[in-house]
Amino acid sequence: MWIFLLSDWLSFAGLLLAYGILRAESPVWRHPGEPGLNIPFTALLTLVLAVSSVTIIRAYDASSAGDRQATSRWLAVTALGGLLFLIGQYAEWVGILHPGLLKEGLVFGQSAYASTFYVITGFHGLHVVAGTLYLLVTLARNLRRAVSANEVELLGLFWHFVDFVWNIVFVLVYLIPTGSSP
Amino acid sequence: MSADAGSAKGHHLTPAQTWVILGVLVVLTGLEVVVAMSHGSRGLVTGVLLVLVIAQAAYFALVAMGLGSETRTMKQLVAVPLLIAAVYALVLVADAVWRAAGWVST
Repeated sequence: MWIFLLSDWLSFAGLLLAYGILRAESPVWRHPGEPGLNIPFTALLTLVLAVSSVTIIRAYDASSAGDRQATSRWLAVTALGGLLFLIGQYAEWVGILHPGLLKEGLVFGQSAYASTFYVITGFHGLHVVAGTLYLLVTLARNLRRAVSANEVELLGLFWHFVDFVWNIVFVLVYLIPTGSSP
Repeated sequence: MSADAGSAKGHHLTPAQTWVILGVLVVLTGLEVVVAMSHGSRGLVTGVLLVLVIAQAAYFALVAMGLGSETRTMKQLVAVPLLIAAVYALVLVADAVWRAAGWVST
């Protein structure tokens, strides 16, 4: 699993490297008229993923202890964290209660700022989708017949990786100042 | 939570340790947000954020993901490509900054 995660990380590293080069070369990263990113809201999503990293550890512990019911409960809570994150990302991109970035003028292909944002957060979002499906499938299997602690451990490693990458994306894409006024 | 599929025993964390992990992640994320929203110079804020994210990533990989309790070979297997990639990134980003500043004729 570590080898798979390492190779997956190199995909992210390639994207982040391209992002770093484009950003370093660009005299103006965020052009006038382009919306800024909502840091407090995204910090909340980061917290959701951090909590889900803890709940997957509890799922693994329950599985190791042979407590099938608790395993299912913690897997369900972790999957809920993944779903909440995805809903949050949808709200950020498209908008639910407020207009999303797409409606505010952050259009893919319009600038390096917009394109790298959608590619990097979208690629990570695909990992969250895959992780959430993985969680739901494991949960369904556990409800029928107990899954082994090793299976939950591998799932946990993947889910931790999703959180690990998000922490880096959050800082590099959202937090490093753009040096442009809104 | 660290082993591969063939492992007989994994890396167990007590409930107290999991709360410590969550606490550290929340505190580091909070610090990052505070630093990002501060009115310091752009270079200083970027530098501090990079230090914080490297610390957070290392803590997460070593403690939460359990890389710290893996074998030395496994640690090296993960760490060496990461270090090479980091050096490569540093060189390419520095080159991009160099070019953007007009210090190199293209």
